[in-house]
Amino acid sequence: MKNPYQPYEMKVEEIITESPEKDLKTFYLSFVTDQDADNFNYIPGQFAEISILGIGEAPFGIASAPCEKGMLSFSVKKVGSLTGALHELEKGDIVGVRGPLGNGWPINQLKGKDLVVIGGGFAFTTLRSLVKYIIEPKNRQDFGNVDIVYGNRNPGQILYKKELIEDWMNRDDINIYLTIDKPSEGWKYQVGFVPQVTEKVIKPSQNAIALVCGPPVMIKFTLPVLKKLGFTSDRIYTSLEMKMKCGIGMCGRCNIGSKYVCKDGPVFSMAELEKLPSEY
Amino acid sequence: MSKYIMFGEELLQWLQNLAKESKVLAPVKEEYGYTFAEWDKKSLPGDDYRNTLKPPKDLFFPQHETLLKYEKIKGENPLVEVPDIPEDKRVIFGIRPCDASSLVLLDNIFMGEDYVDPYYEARRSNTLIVSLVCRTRGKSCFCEDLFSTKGSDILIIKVDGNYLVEILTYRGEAAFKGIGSKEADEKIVKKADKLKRTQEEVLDKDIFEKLRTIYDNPIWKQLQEKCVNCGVCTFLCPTCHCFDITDDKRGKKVRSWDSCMFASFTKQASGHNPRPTGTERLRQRIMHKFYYFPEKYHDIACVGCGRCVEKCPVNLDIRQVIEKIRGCLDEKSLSAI
Ligand SMILES: Cc1cc2nc3c(=O)[nH]c(=O)nc-3n(C[C@H](O)[C@H](O)[C@H](O)COP(=O)(O)OP(=O)(O)OC[C@H]3O[C@@H](n4cnc5c(N)ncnc54)[C@H](O)[C@@H]3O)c2cc1C
Ligand code: SF4
Ligand code: SF4
Ligand code: FES
Repeated sequence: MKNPYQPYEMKVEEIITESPEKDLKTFYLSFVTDQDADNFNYIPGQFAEISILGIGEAPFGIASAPCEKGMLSFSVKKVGSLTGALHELEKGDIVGVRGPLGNGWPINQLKGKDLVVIGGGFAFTTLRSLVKYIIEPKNRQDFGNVDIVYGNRNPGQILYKKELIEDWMNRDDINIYLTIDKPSEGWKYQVGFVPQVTEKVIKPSQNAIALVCGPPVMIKFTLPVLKKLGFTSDRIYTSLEMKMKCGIGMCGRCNIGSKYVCKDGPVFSMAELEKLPSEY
Repeated sequence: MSKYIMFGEELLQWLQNLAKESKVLAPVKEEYGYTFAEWDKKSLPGDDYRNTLKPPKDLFFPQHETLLKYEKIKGENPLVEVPDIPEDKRVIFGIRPCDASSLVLLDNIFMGEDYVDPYYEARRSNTLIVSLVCRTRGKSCFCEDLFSTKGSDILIIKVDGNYLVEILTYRGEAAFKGIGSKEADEKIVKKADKLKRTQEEVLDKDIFEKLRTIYDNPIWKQLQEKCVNCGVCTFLCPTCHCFDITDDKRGKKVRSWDSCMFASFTKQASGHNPRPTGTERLRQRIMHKFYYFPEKYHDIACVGCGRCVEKCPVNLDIRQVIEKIRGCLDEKSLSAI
């Protein structure tokens, strides 16, 4: 068994600044050895701990999809010391990556179902991974219709703009609804908060499953809308964030009741969360 | 497995033999109390030995430990390596049965199905546990069973000035091979059994499955009123396993004990804290030991060693906390501790 504290070395191949405020960057990392690339087997929704020597480590959702071989991508908002140091990185720098960690999206339960993917802000990362996985030609037939609602404060905040607008918008095997909070010049898509847009555009089937990721307020107001649209708690999934260190259920800081978010999560159904103390 | 009877001299000799090929750690008296240190190869713990100040988790999951060493080299990839994990054979002699059983609880965490902590595992697999039963409970102790065999390879009970040695595992048996000691006769075994039967129940801990029902009860606020969130109760607890991982700036990634009693423990980068006050933190400590841990591993995470009772600066006594909770579960009236 591998030492769970030992990171893979990865090289920064490309850095995309995602927002005009420059506080959001997406990092494309490549494995230094082919063997590492083969050993790192993950599913959408899992995360990894990225480390910079002398600074520390922090958890980030994996934004790339397993089919994107040999590399991983992460979108990081600058909020503190490690994220600050990540934002200073340049092409060619080396970082440590420990993972994959956590349970990931429940791929098997999603098979054969219509999916409603709802994201807000920079929490769209692992949802991007999931959609990318689903639209992979060899996987697409395993899933039903895919509707995506992705909201942001303004157009500048949207992650993966190029891919979303040039590719996803033009595909006929998914429907994507981009929305911004307030009207903005030149914006051709939806306007309004995620819950309202969801209510307007989503006509879910009986067995549809919703996957929701975003800031707490968005989740708070989206859940009642989903209930109204007929989603039962066992058909709504979300991914939680807690303060984490080890990522492997040992350091004791990320529990909600008897569940460790790092190991038993970060993805939970609302039905599971309703059974746990509301301490998150 | 077998039981033997030994005189003090024989026991010493056996330990001295073990010390030839293993490092023997035993309770040694220091300024502030007993600590596990290299055995002096001549004496057995004195009558005033109750328990060590620091719990034995320190010998397997030390208070500070280097997980990785690294070196940054200009223009090259950094060098990251795992430090040597000591492989020498160890014997812990004179550990109390409560503490020995705490190791079995920690095994659930550090040697789980999905992840194994290699540092902890190496030390666990190299260490023989020889425990020594207390003659009576200390004033802060409340273990369920003075004679608990959980976690011990060998359990030693003092009976009539001699030592009844119970071999509990194959590892224990191997360490006892070739010793010409007498098998314990029926009389002495009966005597020990009688001691075991006469021990009284200290705390009735069967209430805990109902703990979830008082999660939102105001009792937690009341219980934590005098707690200063110093974390001593968790640092000294043999079953508490929380830790932090930090980079020192000089090439080491270090793991250190941490505590759920600190606000920073769960504070997120956004500033949001799911356990913002002492109330949530005390509830976490108690719920974890008596409800969450049992839910996961089918055993409560308190062995009754009494360290938290003894060392809490404001005398917040976990036994009283349990009694208050029992009262609350019985819907009896509450009064401040
Ligand atoms: C499963 C999981 C997935 C995640 N995925 C992502 C992801 O994909 N992308 C992403 O960007 N993040 C993600 N996060 C969050 C990310 O882990 C944190 O942002 C990161 O840990 C912050 O680390 P840091 O060292 O930069 O911050 P720290 O320096 O550790 O945090 C800053 C600390 O200082 C305090 N602080 C910071 N700013 C202020 C301020 N202005 N005023 C007062 N106090 C302040 C905070 O309270 C915090 O304690 C994820 C988290 C989890 C658990
Ligand atoms: S909670 Fe207190 S009595 Fe129980 S094992 Fe921990 S330190 Fe000992
Ligand atoms: S030792 Fe006492 S005061 Fe300190 S955190 Fe524990 S209960 Fe609170
Ligand atoms: S991050 Fe350590 S237990 Fe979850």
